[in-house]
Amino acid sequence: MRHSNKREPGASLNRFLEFGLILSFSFSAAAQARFLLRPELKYSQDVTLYQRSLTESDLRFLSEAEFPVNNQEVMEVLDLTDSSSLNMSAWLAERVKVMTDSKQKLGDGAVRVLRSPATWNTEPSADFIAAYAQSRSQVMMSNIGATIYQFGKRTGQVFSLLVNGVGWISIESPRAGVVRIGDGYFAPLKPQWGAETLSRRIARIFRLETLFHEARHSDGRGSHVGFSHVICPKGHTYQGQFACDSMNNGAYRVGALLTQQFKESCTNCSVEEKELLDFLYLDSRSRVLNLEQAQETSLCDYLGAWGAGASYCEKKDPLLKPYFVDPQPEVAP
Amino acid sequence: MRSLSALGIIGLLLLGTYIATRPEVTESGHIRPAVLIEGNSGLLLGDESEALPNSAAAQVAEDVVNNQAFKAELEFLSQKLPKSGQRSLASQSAKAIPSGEREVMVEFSILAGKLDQDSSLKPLGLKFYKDCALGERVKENFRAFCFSRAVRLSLELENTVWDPEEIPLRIKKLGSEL
Repeated sequence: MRHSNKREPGASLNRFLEFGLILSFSFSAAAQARFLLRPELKYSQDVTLYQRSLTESDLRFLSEAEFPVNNQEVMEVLDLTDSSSLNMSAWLAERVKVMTDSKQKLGDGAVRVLRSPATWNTEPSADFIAAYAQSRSQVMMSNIGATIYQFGKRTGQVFSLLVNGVGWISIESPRAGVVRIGDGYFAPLKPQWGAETLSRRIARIFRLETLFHEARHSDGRGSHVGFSHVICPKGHTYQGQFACDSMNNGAYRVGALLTQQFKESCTNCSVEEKELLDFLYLDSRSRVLNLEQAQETSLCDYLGAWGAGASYCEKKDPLLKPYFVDPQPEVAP
Repeated sequence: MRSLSALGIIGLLLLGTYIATRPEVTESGHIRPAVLIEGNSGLLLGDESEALPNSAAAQVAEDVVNNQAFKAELEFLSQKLPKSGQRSLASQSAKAIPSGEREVMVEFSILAGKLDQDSSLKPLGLKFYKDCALGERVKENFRAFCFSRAVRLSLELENTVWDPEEIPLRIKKLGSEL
């Protein structure tokens, strides 16, 4: 594929600034050692230097975070022995391996059939077609590796994908780990919304939350391959859209838990930042349908500290049972 | 005759000014200076210098102006609260939060900062959160968020647990996560 050399005015200056940004990173030796343990994330040629440097910086930020290490929910949902940032970084790296930009093609010779297995052991999810259509319209990011795998499963083919500057990638399982950046991924929270007080930190956490969300789509088997979303029910904020999860360990739960980890570890966050993190958490959390309320919720703890209580704090709903699906990724025959 | 009319008009003007600017006696027996607010500029009239020290009078005036401005901001924010059934283009995405909702979200965070910095605004904040949580047409996650904040503020300011029946249990449970 031919890559255009045409540059926009000011491109040289931008590149110079981007280079300066990369050189300006500095971090502790311990964090550096941790960071270097992480398998390298590959980028398509179309991902700009600035976007790469921001992403690398995001990942360093994640590896340096002082997360609570005994968060039982995180350990249960992500199947980790502890909830440290080191472990969570490694979990992410296993599932997100290649980043492409929105120009990444899925046709025009960029996808080819590797083989056509005679049979698959399981049927794809009934929701797949809608989920596929949905993934194409995602504005934040989409896991195209999982999407191509699911498409292959439906049509009885195994594909490989050509990523500019990386080469052909075999899509043998949903774990191929190819994500495509959407238009909204690097869009800043400011200044459009006039919130100068909100730091880059929130935008960073928002991006990382998106990466963790997409990482979960690299998992699953059988009818739950790719952890597809379901339609949100009537009355829900996202009513009628493929923006909810039926399982309790899906992409939205993973994203919510990452935000929670950042919220609990951010000792120097401003009131505004904490409020925004609370909202981001609530938004992801609200998309996990039928999730039992946590045994000790923040508000109920607060009421308890005042010697007060409320009906919604009293009992867990006996009808709701945790619904976890197997995250182990299947492999094409 | 003309001079009598002119005197009458002047007299009426003086009487009007006195009524508008006379000091009031509060429930606690303190004399409160009369304050006239014109728009957001905070125009002051009256004999506040006799009733309170200048700095205290200025503080009262500033609080009133702040409250008025804050109230207007909250009213504006109330109108922007996302409603059920509203769909923006960005909401087609499974992952993204629609940009209009993100904007309101950011404004909520700014509101929290203001309440944290100035406790005198908290009663207005509480009213806003309660109205938002009770708003049947407001989107559920915003209602849940407002419910959570209203419960905390209500306990702090009114020493009561705010738990209205009109709010569905699922919204309360979601809000209690915060």
